[in-house]
Amino acid sequence: MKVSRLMSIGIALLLVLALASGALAQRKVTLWWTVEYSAEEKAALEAIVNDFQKETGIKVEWSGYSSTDLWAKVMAGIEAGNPPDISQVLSHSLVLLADRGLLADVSDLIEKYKGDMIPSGVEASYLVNSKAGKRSYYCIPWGLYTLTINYWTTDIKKAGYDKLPTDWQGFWGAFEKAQTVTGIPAVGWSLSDRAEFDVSWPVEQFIMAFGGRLIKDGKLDVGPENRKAVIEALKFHTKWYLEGKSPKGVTEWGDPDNNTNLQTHKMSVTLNATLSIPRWFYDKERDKYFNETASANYPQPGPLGTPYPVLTNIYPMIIPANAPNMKEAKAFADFWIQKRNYDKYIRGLEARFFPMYKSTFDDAYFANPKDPHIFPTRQHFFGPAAPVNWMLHPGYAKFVIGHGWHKMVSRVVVDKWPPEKAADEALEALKRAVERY
Amino acid sequence: MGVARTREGWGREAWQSYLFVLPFLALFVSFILYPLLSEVYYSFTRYEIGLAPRFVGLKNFAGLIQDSDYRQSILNTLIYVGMGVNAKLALALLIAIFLNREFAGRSLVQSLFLLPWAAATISSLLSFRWMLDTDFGVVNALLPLVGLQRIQWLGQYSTAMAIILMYHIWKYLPFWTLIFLSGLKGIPPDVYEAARVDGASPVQLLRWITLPMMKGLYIICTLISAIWTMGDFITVYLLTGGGPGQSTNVLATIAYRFAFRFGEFDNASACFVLLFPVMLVLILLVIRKLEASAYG
Repeated sequence: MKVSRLMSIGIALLLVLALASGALAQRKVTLWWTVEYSAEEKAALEAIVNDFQKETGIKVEWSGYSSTDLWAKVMAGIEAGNPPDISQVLSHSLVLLADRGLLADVSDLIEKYKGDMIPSGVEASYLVNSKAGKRSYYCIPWGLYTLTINYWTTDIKKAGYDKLPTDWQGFWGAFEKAQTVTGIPAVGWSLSDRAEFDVSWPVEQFIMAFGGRLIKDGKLDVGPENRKAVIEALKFHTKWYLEGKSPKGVTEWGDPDNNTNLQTHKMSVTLNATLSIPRWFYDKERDKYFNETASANYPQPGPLGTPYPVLTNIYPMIIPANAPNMKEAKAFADFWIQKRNYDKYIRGLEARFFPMYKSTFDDAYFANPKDPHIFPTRQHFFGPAAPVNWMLHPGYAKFVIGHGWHKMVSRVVVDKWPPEKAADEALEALKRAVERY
Repeated sequence: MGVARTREGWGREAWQSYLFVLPFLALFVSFILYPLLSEVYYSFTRYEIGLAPRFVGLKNFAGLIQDSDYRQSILNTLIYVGMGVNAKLALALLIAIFLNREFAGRSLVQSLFLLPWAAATISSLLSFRWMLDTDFGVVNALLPLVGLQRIQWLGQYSTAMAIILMYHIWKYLPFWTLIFLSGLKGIPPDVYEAARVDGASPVQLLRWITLPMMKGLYIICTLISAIWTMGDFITVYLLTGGGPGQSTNVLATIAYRFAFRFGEFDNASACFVLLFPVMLVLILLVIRKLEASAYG
């Protein structure tokens, strides 16, 4: 009798303890984020995490990765049923994940702040979900970016220019002329599989410049006009290397290599998806940031004598549809994008990415005409602008993920194929990728 | 004998045996058998991220065979395994024979020789990459000094594949040399002694004693090394990333591409399932060889 009473009391106590521990268990949110560039970026992330924890009492368990590692990790986490509550992915995989219904609909958050958001960012976040048969907002476009043009003003001056010409021929011709004077290769951008957007994006941008519009109203068009644009873009993209006007190693460059090569003045100009190169000058050699280098707006009109859109893209924050702490994830996302918090964060990134809010864009930091890098790049968002094609179709995104453009470029510079043959192979692969959807 | 003597005794001892084997069995089923069978199953389904697997028969295999990148990866795997393993083991045996001789400073040479194997794989791969960088690499900095032009080591297929093979041999040669060295130490000295008394030359000792007695071990090492090399991912992934133009992928890197870039677990599984018969034959050969050397 005594024993059974004792046991009953023991069990009751255990039950109370279990219930109490459940009630007391701290609410948390798991965050996987890219931490790959600077201490300032990490500090900006830590600041927003700390502020959120302090204000809400919700614990944030965060870990940092490089963007490519994070991409694979998010895919594996979602599939294994063990995803983070909040993360980010590269834009092309965002499109695939949204299409398969793997991301939470964040329309409630977007609608709340949409009025102040840059329209192209909002547009790029409105994605197809084939599983649910609808389009909706499946990410928060927390960072905007564009293919920046960074160059050494000193080289241009040596070639006899006060300022870069603004028409297509004059603009690129200035760098060719500079090479004849300085002996430094004119242009350097990656032509290798080891880079990601540093190959796909310039190819896409040049296709646009040569009049190509591969996705129209959500459909792929690989007709003769677009084929011609792809061929011309490919010729332009590769001619610098083939004519000895690029560093020889571009066929091996990974994403950071155009940074190091421009920083060490191994070429006069490069294209880069963020302002990370000027940031490096700002931190390490500020005089060069202001007096020896600059970023340019795109030369307009284009090679065909007509204006063309500058491609912009988003860096998305996502909440997986199977996030274990959905409520907390939404609370954290909401906290993050409230202007008072968001502005601090985006400012902490020191213009590596541009803000999603119009009002933040107008901040003196982003709108200072004396800044030789931020201000000209800012103009990319306010001229004729369009989202990159891979945001517009999941099949297209898959083609880009599979390095379809990389292969086309490699066919010309490594295998020495004629551009026409390489373009046809790529367009055939693009057609196959799109047909699956 | 005692195990099966009485029903009671057999039962108790058998239970104990099963109990001891149980942890291994649980691990084997969880981490080898289940993933393996799942992989075979997924290879016959359409199974992409976010989609439930759906049986599609041989469709994935047919698709893969039409995929030029996949075909290229098969060819590269054959080159990588065929040339890498054979060159590495032949060299390892020669070096082991050399190191098995008495000479001044032998311990130092042996220790230095082991260094590549001891070096961390990722750091050494990144060092290779930097040393071979077209613009900044030390190798290309030296070439003009001897009147040669700089080479795009990792930017063209032929040199990139050669570098992948070279790294593999450099990195794993010491391990296999060590194995062969221990094999050579196992050959009784009196066999050599007797042959020397009969007037055998060093070449004849090698031809008629060392090589025949090392044959079994050599074959086993070849098979094991082939199995390991077939699954190697990191060498290609870090050295070339599969480039230029997806031309240096091996099966492991192309399967990774399918799984973690496209979310196509079906094609990733099929990549390896196509390889299973080859693997199985190799494994069976290893087992037969091991049994033969144990009971022969």
